[in-house]
Amino acid sequence: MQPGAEWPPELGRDVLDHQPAAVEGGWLWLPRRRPALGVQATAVPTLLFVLLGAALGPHGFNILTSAAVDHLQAVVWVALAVIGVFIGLGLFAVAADANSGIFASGAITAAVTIATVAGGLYGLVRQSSIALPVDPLAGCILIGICASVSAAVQTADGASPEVRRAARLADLDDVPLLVLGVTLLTAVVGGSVALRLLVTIAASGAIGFAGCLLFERASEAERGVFVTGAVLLLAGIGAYLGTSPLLSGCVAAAVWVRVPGSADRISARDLRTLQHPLVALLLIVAGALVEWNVTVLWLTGCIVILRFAAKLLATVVVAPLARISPSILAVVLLQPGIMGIALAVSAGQLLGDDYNWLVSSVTVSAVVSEAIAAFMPHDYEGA
Amino acid sequence: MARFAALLLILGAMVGVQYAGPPASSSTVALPLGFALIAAYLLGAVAERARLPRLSGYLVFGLLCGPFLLNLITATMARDLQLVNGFALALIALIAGLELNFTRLRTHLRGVIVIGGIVMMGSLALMTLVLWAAWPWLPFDDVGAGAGRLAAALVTAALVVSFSPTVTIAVIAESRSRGPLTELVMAIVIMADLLLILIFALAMQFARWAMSSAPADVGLSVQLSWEIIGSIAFGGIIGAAFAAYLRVIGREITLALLAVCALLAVVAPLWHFELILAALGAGLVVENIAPPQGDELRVAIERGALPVLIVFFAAAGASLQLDVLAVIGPLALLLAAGRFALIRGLAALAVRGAGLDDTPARMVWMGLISQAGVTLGLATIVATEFPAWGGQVRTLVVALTGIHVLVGPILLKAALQRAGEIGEV
Repeated sequence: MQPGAEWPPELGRDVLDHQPAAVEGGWLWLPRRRPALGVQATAVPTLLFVLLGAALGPHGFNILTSAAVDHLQAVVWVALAVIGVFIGLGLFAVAADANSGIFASGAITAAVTIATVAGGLYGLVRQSSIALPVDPLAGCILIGICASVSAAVQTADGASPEVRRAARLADLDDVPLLVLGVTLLTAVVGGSVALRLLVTIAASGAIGFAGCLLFERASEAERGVFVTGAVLLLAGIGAYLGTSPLLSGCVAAAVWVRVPGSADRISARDLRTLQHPLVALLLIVAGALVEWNVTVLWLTGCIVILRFAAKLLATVVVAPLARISPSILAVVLLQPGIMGIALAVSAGQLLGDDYNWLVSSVTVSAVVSEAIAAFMPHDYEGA
Repeated sequence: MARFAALLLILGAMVGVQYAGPPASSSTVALPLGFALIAAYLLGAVAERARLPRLSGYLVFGLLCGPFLLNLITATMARDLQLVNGFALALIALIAGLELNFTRLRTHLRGVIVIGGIVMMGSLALMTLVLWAAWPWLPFDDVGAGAGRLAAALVTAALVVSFSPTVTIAVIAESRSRGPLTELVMAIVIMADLLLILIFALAMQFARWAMSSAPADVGLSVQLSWEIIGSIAFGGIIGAAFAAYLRVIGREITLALLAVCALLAVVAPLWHFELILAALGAGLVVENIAPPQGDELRVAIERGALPVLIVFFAAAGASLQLDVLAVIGPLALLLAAGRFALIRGLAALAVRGAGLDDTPARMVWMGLISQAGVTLGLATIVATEFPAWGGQVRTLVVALTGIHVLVGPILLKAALQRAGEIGEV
């Protein structure tokens, strides 16, 4: 397949930001009606799954015990790899027809958010009596990176070019999360950072090429084996090398999009059945990992406020450059989606309990930010 | 050619990843799982082209890439892969139950009882006698004379002569066989598995009494009833629920099938049920009481079973202890040859006795050679309870299983091929 050609409409963006099948399936009928009131629907399922995890988890009713959460680690790795694949599929399809102005705008938005959140948070941590158990600078930068991502928005078929540009910009701000986030995470894990990143990219690329050779000529039963095997391998590569399956999944997806053929469509179609339960599980595990203490609540408040300010600042800087109305861009950028939670969970898996405060504060702040964004009036749908 | 290139790329990725250093995370099971799934499948396809069972390809993959040869699947990874064992056993036994139709089986009932009974009991008696006589010359700790030696010989013989319903059913499922020989072999190995559990439990009681390592358990009959009848009843309840789901809802059948297997695999050990019997009971109820209409269940089984079988047998291959085989190999080979001769001879006698010597049933012995997980599980129980001689017997059983798990599927597939029953489902 040529990049972007005949691309199913839902693959040109982060489908995972609109994850929960529950909404589409209809059992959460109430949120579906909320857009009519001027409220975004995506917040409610994220909130529900995280709250469900928090209630069931070790710090809640302890139905999902610490041992059970540990056992779910492998499934979470797979969920992260699937998310990585969808990031890659969306990113490279969007990048194919995005101009350099949108790229630059996406990069500036992310840079402003990371600098504001990480810098502001580090300053506040140093000023306060809050003592973090590990290197606060690395932690604050990781939080800044997690906070930098914006959820993609669904645009109607007849949406204006301005709204489409805003949606594209929101897609492209995943790049810093992957590049900076995974590099920093690898550095914090320790060992030879360059070697492990290089091997991750090379090995994931090899799996990507192997997928291209296998997927198309396979029968339906075989294809299930190959696609599942490829995703497991991608998850395993990220987990083994400590570089996050988000990166390995994204690299393989890049190969599937760029190499002529239909590996991208096949993998997207086969993985879509796994995507919703896996993302729901990731959010439940993220919720289960949340610790409720003063440090987490304090950090959450700081992150929410700093992120809100950073996104407004980024809007002011970027809106003229990208030729998008600030009122549209601000609302689009304010929604955090689940990518930040995915990176934070990835960090929690690799770095252990010492970084639970990071997972907790990123997860809770994402949910709060999502709720705030949901109540922002927006008039871009179908614009 | 494309598949070979893909295999090389995946091998390269595995080598590269392991070259970069030790694992950064404690949970790396996804890596061997993915590797096994694709690479073992490709090797299974090569085996099929060579007219061997696909399972042999999966096993050889595990053996080649396992800790004793290429070490691409390290010892830790091989152990992690065993996590799927319970789930795979449940799925395999459920498939067996779904294949056993009482109406069709009624025509073979006499053959099953005569052949199964003569082969199982005859082998057990003769093997016990041989082991009892040869015990002083075997590399096992002294267990004294008289009842102690007889008990040890009986327990060891029960392990040596056991069959593998798992491997047999898996070969039948993956080769999509159906016919008189298929049904006869499957019914015999399942009956033998029931008998084995009973005989093993009785032999262990006798060994406990003879060696006074623990008092005889007065609740033996209760325990056996619970294990056998309780397991089948529990499985039957799950099967009835699954049958109701198929009839009333009938959607997402692959997912429902896998969920049933997961439920059986988790709950059966918790309640001390025999997993294989419980899953078999579930399959029997679905097939014989509320058979599904249409092809949906068969399609779901094909889709769901393939990856599970690949990983299960690749893991089995990776966990074959070649070092043990090297140490105790000659004795294991000798015993394997003896077992082979016993099964072949007794089966020929039994087939003639049952009046089936002009039918494909004369090849039934080829389906009775495999040994796998159940045997190893029972050997571990012996090793735990009688650490001295039991540990040595377990080592022997590991080596024997290694031989039979490789040879058994090849023989069974050859028999099914000769009987013209492959691809009939």
